[in-house]
Amino acid sequence: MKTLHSDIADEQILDLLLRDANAERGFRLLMEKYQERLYWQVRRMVHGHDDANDVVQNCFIKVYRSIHNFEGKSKLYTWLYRIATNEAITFINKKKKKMAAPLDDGENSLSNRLQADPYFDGDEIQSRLKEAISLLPEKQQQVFNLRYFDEMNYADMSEMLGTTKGGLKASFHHAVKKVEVYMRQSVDG
Amino acid sequence: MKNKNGLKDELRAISPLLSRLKEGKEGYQVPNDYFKSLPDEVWQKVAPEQAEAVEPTYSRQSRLTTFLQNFFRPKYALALASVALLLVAGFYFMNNENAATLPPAVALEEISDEALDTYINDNIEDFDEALLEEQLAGKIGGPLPGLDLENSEGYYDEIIDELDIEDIEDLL
Repeated sequence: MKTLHSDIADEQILDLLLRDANAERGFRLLMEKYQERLYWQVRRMVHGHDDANDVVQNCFIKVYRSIHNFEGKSKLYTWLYRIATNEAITFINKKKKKMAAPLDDGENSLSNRLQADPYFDGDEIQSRLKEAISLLPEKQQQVFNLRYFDEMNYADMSEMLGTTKGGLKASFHHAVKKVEVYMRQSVDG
Repeated sequence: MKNKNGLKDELRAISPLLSRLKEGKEGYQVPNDYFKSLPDEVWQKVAPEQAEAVEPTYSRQSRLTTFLQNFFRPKYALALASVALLLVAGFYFMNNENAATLPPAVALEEISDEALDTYINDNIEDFDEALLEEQLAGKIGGPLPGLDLENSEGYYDEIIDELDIEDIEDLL
């Protein structure tokens, strides 16, 4: 029976990665196990496929270079998630500086950009939802995406984001309310 | 939507609108076989680093070069320099100590006879008789025939008693 990559233990992947002769196998297993989760996490932050692709590739290159620094104090995915999130935030900030007009302004609005993206086939409601999420404070965006799209439980989120479960529940509640208000306004308007 | 981790119930309670929207697709797409080819694409970028990390089979010359490079790496060079410094310092102090205990050759010539006489008179009790005997044996070409050094002790004692200051000076 073929072994699923998601079944392979992190310890086994790390063991392979840290031995030079098996590093390629370890790296491929690491990517195959986590690339999709990380990609979607990044994609929800940067939105475009090309941008998400750049960020995810840079993220895995950084992971490869710094795998020796992983101390095992947190879960491997938590460590990967933090690297990917930092990479995405850096990317967004650089992009904002390069753009003459703000990213969420008029023609440049996220909703318009998504509708023009060949790798987005959602309807207008979906693009409005993405826009509403993008207007949330950074931390609330992370909480909303992890809970709403990834359906992650609060205990795992707490470890990943370093916030109490109570704080996360409150944050998700506020985020949902803000998104709902934005959606109702855009539909009514 | 499944009620994974209680999300469905939670969303229904907070926002029925978002709960309904969750039923639809997210809208994001990726190119065909994107996740199949991504590991290859990323590996091609890190492979050169990997090649540097893996030690290939070295020729004798390159092994020597590597050894020398390692030899001069700061951590090894520092350790070797420390050891060398300790050896030089140890050698210097050992020689210096010997030098300090040995009287300089020129110093003896510069001491006046009077000072020498005074010194010998004051320290005659401390002189090593065995050493004097050896010196004397050297002067006369060895112990007398048929007598070894141990048995000739009485004989040498007599000779020493007969020695005057000038004779002792000559011996020194």
